[in-house]
Amino acid sequence: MIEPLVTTATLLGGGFAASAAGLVAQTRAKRAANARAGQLEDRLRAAEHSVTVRTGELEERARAAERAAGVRTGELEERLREAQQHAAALSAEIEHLATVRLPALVDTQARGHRGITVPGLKDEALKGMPVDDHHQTVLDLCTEAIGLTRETIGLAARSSVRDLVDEAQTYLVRCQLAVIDEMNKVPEATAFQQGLMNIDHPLTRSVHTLQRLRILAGSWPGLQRADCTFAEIVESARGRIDPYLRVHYTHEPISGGVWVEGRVVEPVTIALTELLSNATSYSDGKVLVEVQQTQTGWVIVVDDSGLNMSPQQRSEAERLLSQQTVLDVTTVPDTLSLGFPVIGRLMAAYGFRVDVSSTSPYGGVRAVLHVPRELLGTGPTQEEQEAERREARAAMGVSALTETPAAETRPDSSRGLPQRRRRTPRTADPAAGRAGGPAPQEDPEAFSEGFAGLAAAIRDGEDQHPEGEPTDD
Amino acid sequence: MTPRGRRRTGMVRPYTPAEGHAAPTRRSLDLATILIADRDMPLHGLSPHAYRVMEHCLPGALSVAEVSADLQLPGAVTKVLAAHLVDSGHLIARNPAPAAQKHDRALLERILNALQQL
Repeated sequence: MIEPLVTTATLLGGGFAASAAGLVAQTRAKRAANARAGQLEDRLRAAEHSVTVRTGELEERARAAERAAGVRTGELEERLREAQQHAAALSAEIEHLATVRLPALVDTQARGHRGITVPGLKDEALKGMPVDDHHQTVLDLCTEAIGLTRETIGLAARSSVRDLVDEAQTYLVRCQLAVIDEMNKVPEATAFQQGLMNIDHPLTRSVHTLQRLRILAGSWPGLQRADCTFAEIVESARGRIDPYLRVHYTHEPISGGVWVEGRVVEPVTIALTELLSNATSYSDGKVLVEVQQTQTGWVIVVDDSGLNMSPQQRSEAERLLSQQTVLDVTTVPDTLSLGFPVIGRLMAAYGFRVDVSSTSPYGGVRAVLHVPRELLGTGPTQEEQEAERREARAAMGVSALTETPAAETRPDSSRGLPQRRRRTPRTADPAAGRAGGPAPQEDPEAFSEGFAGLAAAIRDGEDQHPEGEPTDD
Repeated sequence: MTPRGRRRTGMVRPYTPAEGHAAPTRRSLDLATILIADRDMPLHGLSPHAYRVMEHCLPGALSVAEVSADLQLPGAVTKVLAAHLVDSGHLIARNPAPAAQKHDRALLERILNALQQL
């Protein structure tokens, strides 16, 4: 029994051993395989890891590349937008030049509209850029072109205006002289005299109209006077307007005899005429003129009782008065408003001043013409006055009448007339020299009359004057 | 000298001092009429030319013709001015006595002698 058992056991043992050995071998192989697998797994994991890392990197790089591309595109878009905006601004600026700035320039420079300023750039951002410079050049060229054209036309127009005015004025002044001559020929108050006066007034006004025109055309008044007194200036100016009877000026002992230098007599008179013309046309009542002394000279004050000027009219008047440039015949607005430009021109050229900013105590405008002391004159000398008087007396044929008591008591006139005094010594008989003067109408006695005439004829012998002709009535 | 003074003529046109009237308010005024100024009359308020006439006549008396010549005014204008001044009492106008009323005995005798010698 043991045997089987041993055999069995042996068998079993051997089997066991064999199987154990096999197991060991198996185990070993397994272990080796496991190690191999582990290694492989490790390598796999490492490979996997490196792939992952690599992928991440690549992804990262791809993202970076994408980002970079995005930034670049944005930049480009931005630059495109900017370029488009700039082009739009330039286009708008050109349109602004063509539709706003140039028309405004034409309005101010060519049409002479006031109160308009030529606007600047539409887009301030373009300031200083080439477009700004170029546009400015265009505007400057236009201004220059308008100025040049006006200058050329103006010069030609002004010189022809001056020539024509000169000629017309010469004829009118000749007419005026003829009027005085005619008046002096007939000393009696007749319809003829009245007619002459009626002609003289429009003649004088025509001369004034021509003078204002030539002054606006940049010329002088066309008349050189001797020194004149303020009284003469006021009276002369008064005679140059239509409603001269409404202008009241009474003699002022101090100012009336002050002399104004001949060079400025006519300009001052013209300026005063314009002031009187304004004063009488804006009021219905009296216009009062006074001459007063001031610290720096003399002023002629013109007060009217009409409507005062509105602030706008006042500032417009001030502007026109301060305008010193030669007025362009092409830009004169209308004839009614020529007065202040005329005065403005004269003020600038001759150095007197006119102010219309005050209100008259009579309610209207107070115009003040200031004549500085430098423009005062000395007047004619005693000798000149004498010569003038002698000549005038001779011209009027008064020589035979000159002897009067007054002539002897007045020192200024006695010096010039010595011979005449000797010839007719009897001062109580001033009309003795007149042959056939008023005597016939006063005296019915023909006999006495005849003797008187004869007496005069004998006494004066060769006597000279034509006045004795019986012209009366 | 004279031309310088001459340029003042025509400065004041005749119708201005005459206020546009050629006919004086008095017909009796003549170029030979003597104007005598009343020294007591006030001179303020006169027009410049009326004042000049007064100023001229004040020292004594002057004829209308002389005033005309001295002030360089046409006779008609002087008459208008003088007539106004006579109206206002500033001037007294005296027409010269007619020549026939002033017989000069010595002169008449001379004439008689002369006639007799013919």
